[in-house]
Amino acid sequence: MTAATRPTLIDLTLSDWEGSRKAHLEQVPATSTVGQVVNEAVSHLGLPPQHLYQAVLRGRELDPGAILDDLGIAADTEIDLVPEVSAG
Amino acid sequence: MSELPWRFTLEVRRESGDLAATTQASAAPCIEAAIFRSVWMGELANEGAWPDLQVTPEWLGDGRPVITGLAVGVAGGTPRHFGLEAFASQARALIRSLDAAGRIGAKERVRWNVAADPAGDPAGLGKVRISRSPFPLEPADLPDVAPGSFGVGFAAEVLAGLHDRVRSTGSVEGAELLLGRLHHDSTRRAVQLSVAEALPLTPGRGGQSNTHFAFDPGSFVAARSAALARRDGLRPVGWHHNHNPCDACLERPDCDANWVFFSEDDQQVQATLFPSPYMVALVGGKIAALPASRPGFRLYGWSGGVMEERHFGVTGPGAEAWDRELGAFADGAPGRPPVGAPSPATPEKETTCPTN
Repeated sequence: MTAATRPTLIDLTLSDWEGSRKAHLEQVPATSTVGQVVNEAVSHLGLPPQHLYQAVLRGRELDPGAILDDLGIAADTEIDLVPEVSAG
Repeated sequence: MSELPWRFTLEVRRESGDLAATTQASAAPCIEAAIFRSVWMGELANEGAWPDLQVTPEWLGDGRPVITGLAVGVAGGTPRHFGLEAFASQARALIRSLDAAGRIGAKERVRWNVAADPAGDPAGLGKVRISRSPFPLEPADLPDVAPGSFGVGFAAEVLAGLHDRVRSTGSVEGAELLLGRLHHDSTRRAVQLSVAEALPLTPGRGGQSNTHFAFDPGSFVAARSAALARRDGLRPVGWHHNHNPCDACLERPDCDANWVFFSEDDQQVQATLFPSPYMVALVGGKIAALPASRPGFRLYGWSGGVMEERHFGVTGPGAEAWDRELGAFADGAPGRPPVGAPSPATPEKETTCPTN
């Protein structure tokens, strides 16, 4: 890969919804999808991996298939991580 | 969580012994419980930093890498033992997902175990660093909480409000975010969770019904923002939801159905949305000993990485009346498991009341 095509690398923070634990992802390719960074954060935060987690940025739910760069997500952005679950 | 020297894997096997599925297993409930206990007992400063952890798998005989539990030591303290029950909720979630996907037969028997392997270099997107906040402990004198114990108190007006809300929702489930404070008496090594407010939550895309309430990711972020904006020190400490009676229960004062329990779905909500070891779950609804028109409550909280029923007190104006009401289904009353006993085997609420 040449320097011209090398993807931009950004730092991101994904936080559990109450903000008590945060995963700081460093040097993530901006070509990554939202789903990829969510899965990475869920694994490192020790959240149960058997569930779907939604990335929420300033109240807006992000499409898991969307590319970070296409969403205009800049370095040092903080994203909330919220599971999609139902009480029974 | 911090990088552990072991990677835990949940394995579901068919009766033949063949693997049906594997997935990463989270030891976070055990780790968090051990850290919280160490802070609570004054063995570890509440700084939010990752302490030095000693995590040791307890092997099943010579069946390595299968484990029977793990021991977690914090900052050189005496290790605490955690059994496989700390992984049971995750196992049931995996088995239910396999069932829903048709990957196991409807009547097929499966079993699960947890294996531990040395953690290698994670193959991820890049470098990951995990930070954690200090527990929201506020110094206090807690003369009414036994040394070394964790007490929970609800403001009477919170219970009254939830009681009215449960009654007004008919047979549909609702949910609220509980706000409160966490007090710590370092001298007595006692902790008290005081619940002072309940914020109604809006259902998400999955809606709500007699048997479920779907949480809306956006509403949680909004509720957190609303709590922080109050500037009164209250913070999210748990949740309430109701298991309401069916319509027939409401028409029969002598109905002895019991809908107030902590279901498997509720376990998943707790594990994903309320994993902090001080967070609680209050369930309201039809208690066996009371008619459907008088909703009762039971409280559940983390203990050693698993959810168990626990006692709670009532404080503030009106507390005495609530003590009498709660006494109607206290220890020994029909349908009431002993306080502190493990929750019954996570029953599921049926759509049809078994007593009607």
